[in-house]
Amino acid sequence: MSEGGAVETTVETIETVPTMEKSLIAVIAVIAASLLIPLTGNKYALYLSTKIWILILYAIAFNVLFGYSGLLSFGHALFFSGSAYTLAILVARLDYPLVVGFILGIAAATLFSAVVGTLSLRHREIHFAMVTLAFSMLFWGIVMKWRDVTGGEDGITGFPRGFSMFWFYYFTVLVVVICSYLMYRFVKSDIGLILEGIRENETRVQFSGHSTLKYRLYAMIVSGTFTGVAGVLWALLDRTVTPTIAHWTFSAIPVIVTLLGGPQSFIGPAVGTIVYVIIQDLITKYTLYWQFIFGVAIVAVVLFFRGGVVGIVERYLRGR
Amino acid sequence: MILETQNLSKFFGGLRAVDDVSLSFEEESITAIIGPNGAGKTTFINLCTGLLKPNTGKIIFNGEDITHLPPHKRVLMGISRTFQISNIFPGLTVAQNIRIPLLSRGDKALSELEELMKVFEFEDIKDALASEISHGDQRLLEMAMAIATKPRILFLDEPTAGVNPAEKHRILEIVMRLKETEKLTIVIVEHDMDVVFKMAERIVVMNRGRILADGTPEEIKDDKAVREVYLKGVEI
Ligand SMILES: Nc1ncnc2c1ncn2[C@@H]1O[C@H](COP(=O)(O)OP(=O)(O)O)[C@@H](O)[C@H]1O
Ligand SMILES: [Mg+2]
Repeated sequence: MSEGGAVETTVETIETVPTMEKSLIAVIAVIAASLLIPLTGNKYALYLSTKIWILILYAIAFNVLFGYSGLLSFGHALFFSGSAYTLAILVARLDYPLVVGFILGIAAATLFSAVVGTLSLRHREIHFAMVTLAFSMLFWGIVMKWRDVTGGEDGITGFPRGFSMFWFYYFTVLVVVICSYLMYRFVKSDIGLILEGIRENETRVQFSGHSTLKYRLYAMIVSGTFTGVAGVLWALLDRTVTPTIAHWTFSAIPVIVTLLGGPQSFIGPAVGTIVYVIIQDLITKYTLYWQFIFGVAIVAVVLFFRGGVVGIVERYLRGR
Repeated sequence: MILETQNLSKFFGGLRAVDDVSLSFEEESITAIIGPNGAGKTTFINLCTGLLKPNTGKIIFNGEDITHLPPHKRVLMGISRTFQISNIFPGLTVAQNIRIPLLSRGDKALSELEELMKVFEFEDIKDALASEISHGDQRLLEMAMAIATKPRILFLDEPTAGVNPAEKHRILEIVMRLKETEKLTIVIVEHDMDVVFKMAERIVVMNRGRILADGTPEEIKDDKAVREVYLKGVEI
């Protein structure tokens, strides 16, 4: 390319057509197989799989913002815990029906993401990450200190799940699949196209007549709201909420699993989540140093395989 | 008068990149801005289109003061541009690149996609990634994106920089055709003097942030000051 006309060719487009069909078949197969898990009667496997499904939703919702709009949030624990705590407070403290807690919990995440988005989206890159982190730490502080309402370090218990663990699993799968489908439609819509444009070249989107701030806010609200869905499911799974889910380390989970699985593909974060939870579960059994080993593995994937696990598999399928 | 600047200035530290420039552009006219590198041509366009905020002065579009409007609002009013260095979405397809500006005018505008593909002769490459098409096509793509917002005034910053002579010809031909069909006002920065003197109805010469001369091609050709700083040795 001649000088003065150098065009960066950095990011690959998200998913090409032939691999898309293959991955759709793979996704359906995995979902179908996972429906058998409760039938095995293995309680631990059931618990772990429910948790994986919820974290998958968390990671996919996070990546709507990160992978598709190029915004790295380091405060998603705020939306996750915001919805979980709203449900717990409404149901356990104020005796609202579970359904109300479920819906208002999600609504709280929508509200939080709209507010945080409005206040943080003028910032870019690392500054945006820092502002979102600051908001989530503020919320964590409130959760720890406002003991009368949040239970401080002990959190809140004493609300029902509404389902047995068996049926809760199927409920979770259903909710996660529907939410993921809705997010898929969102990122493939014209709004999603504009968001991809923002990630590629924000100036050009502005000079195409769009307020990029408005579209970033849409992405933030969609991402935050579905993170809130994951949050209420999480609360129901353990029938407990604790400050762990408000802590910044909980914001790091979707960042890590997305980098691990591959932010360039829609299902990348889901693959990353499965790998992350299973490896964590296995390694913890054998060594105390799992975090260290895992850290090394993640650094390796991020440094040497930018497309994450999904990128590696795709390259392999294409015949190297 | 479609667009007018009044005493417009932009300073970078001590450097006066644009220095007290008052210019106005007639509707459906074509003006070339020429001048040596660093004269302030790009900075002037950046001020008119909102990429930069001026230190002093005003910009009036259609009688309205737009000095403080962000770029996207100016685009929606009818001010569009291309950049000196290709500014497209490299990882999106040609069709997607044009779809994004069309969307700024609502879903109805999407019906114009096909027509634009025809005008710019993109039918065969519409599904190619923008990063993979030829440099000349990238320049045209950026122009198509600018046209997709349905501008009334179009700023073209060296639209033929770095393309081969055949492609250059094609690009300029399309510019002239669009000017007629879209009833555009065009402000173009171009280094090829043959092209400038043939295409432009009016030529503005800039030097060190200031307007050195402003007139018809004939007037500029005979201007002493211009010959001294800029046209030295150039055969017209
Ligand atoms: N963003 C910037 N920061 C500092 N100096 C700049 C900037 N943009 C342009 N300049 C300076 O302003 C002057 C005019 O630049 P420019 O408008 O690009 O000139 P032209 O397009 O006529 O070649 C040059 O001296 C250039 O170095
Ligand atoms: Mg320039």
